[in-house]
Amino acid sequence: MTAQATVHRSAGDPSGAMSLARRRTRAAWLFLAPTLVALAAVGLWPLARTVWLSLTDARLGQTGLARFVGLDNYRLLIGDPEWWNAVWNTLVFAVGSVAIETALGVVFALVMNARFRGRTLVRAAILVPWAIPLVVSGKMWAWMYNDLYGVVNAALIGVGLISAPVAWLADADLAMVAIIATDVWKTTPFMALLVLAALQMVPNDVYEAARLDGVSPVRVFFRITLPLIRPVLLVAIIFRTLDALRIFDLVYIMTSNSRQTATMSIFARRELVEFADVGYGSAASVLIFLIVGAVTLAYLRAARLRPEEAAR
Amino acid sequence: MGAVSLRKITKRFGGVEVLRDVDLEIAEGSLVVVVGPSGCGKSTLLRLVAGLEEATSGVIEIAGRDVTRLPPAARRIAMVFQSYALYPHMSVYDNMAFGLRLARHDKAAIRARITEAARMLQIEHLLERKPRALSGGQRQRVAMGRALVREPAVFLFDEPLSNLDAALRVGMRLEIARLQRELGATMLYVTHDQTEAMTLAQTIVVMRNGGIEQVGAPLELYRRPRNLFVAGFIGTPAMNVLPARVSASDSEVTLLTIAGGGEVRVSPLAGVRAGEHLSVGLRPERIRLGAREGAPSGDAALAATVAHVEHLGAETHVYLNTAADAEGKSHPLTASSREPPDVQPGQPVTALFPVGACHLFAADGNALSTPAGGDDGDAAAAAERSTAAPAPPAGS
Repeated sequence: MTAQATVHRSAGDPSGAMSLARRRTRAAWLFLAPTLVALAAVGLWPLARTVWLSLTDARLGQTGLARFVGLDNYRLLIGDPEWWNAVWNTLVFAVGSVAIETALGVVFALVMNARFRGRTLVRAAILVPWAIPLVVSGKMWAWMYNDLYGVVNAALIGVGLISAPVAWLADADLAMVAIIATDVWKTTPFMALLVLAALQMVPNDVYEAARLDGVSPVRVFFRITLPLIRPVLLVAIIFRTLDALRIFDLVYIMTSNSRQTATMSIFARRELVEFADVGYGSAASVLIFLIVGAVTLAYLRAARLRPEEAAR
Repeated sequence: MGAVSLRKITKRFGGVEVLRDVDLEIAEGSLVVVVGPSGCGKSTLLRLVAGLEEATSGVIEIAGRDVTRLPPAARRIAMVFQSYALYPHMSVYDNMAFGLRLARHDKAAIRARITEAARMLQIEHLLERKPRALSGGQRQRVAMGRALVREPAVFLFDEPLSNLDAALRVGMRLEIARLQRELGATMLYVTHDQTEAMTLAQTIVVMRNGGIEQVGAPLELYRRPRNLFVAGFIGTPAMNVLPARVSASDSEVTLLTIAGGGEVRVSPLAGVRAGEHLSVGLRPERIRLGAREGAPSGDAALAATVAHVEHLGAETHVYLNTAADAEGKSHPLTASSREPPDVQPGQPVTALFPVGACHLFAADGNALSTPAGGDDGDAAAAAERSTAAPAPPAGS
């Protein structure tokens, strides 16, 4: 009651306190402040510090002794074939895994969206890979890929596709394929769920109108379904692409520091932790940040998706 | 040969029978409105004609061709959905052109058809817009345009106006009627709104529980409802229904005791026996509120109390409760009149009506007799044929 009375008095008193609009603005900032502080603490500060460290010769544990070295770290990095190898591996992984996950995710979503007996069971089952902790599925697949005891070799030999066991994770060409396959297994359900949500937003009567128009099922998919789920699909793809460009855990679990599969994040961690070269590692981290940002902007522009749309 | 003919159509979803042995003939060039409460199977009927659902049994013919097993696109039908069902990602032009392109019409022909339809519907200026940039009424026009360009043998409308506001609904109703006249098109139109049915239809089909109750012209259904359901469904305010008992019946005359009222003499009803219970149906506009004295001798009178008065301007509705009948029950009664009666809620009044205006329904709901010359017929002439006995006090 008291609060109400106060509000009424100040609102009705033009000479007194702030206008309603100004008080609203102030209240808005007040409500936003905790979030802004938290964001600055966990986002802005580490980013700024990383950028600073990348301009120094800091060593792990002795960042206090760091000397400013300008763009030396970046100059070295740009000439480092290991770095460009990591960039290349990352791009291969990102393009390969996201492309396959998107295609399979759409197929799975279409299946889950259809009416059939046991649909609930299928929907639950499809989620299992996504629910398994990554370390567990990584280790599990590494074991399945094992050249001596792995079930993958046993199965492929069994159906006669290969005659001798293959060392999947040790082979220079196959290791990346094996990692992408594992990521596809794990992440397709996520993609499928996002697409399924989009499919369920398409009103049923549009499909009925298409039936009246005599549109074939394939045409319905390409001319009606796909255009209508496109916005969600584009957002899902950008999410997955950002994740894929930062890939570290799966690669580290399955092939550790192997040069054939080392990604940008693997490279940065090795420089930072194993070689204790905080300056150089930070420079790599900053470049990862810039590359991810550049890819995102390029993608948004290519997809003609406005940032507000992506934020939905 | 009708444009659409349905023979012995039955539709079951799982174990639930939604339509049972429905027969319906729709003459070419006519506008037939199917009306009924929700769940009566009217939408299913429409979807069966469209081919969106398949009949469990029975035959559907469109323009003389058995289409029972044909896909929707091959049936020469066009449908306007309640939600319009426009393709959200296509322009208005593409929405209309999509089906034609797939049917491999040449570009110039498609353009000509769309231009013509857009002109008729006055949506020429909207052709490049997307559906989301249109108002509800405009979307409705586009949906109709998409149906027009298909040049179908029959147009199907599934509650097309129920998403529009009241004013727009009246406008679109006139528009649909105008289009139908200009094109001489056959239209099958489904609605739950009996006003829409009455104003639009050349023929009304009243449905209930998966079956057809009555088919006829709007006024025919109003004047001669075949049963209590049709009587109650057609007309606003709804027909008043009062229980009555046959006190005596012979070949000369039948005497009825109306609940809460007196005994009235009606023309002899064949096959009713004394003691039988009937229902008396009475249109609200046939009830006058006034004094017993000076009323025509053919009028029956009921004592009632005013519960509520609605002034609509052109007419006034008075909601009444009849005085308690022999069993102590009171019955609601609605009277409507052009002249606003000078009554207040709570006021006791006498409801007068010509006995000849009564519809009589047997206990099973089927009509026994309807007012001679129809509901709006000459009351005096009707009164001549049956005269009321002096009303004894209620409850005697």
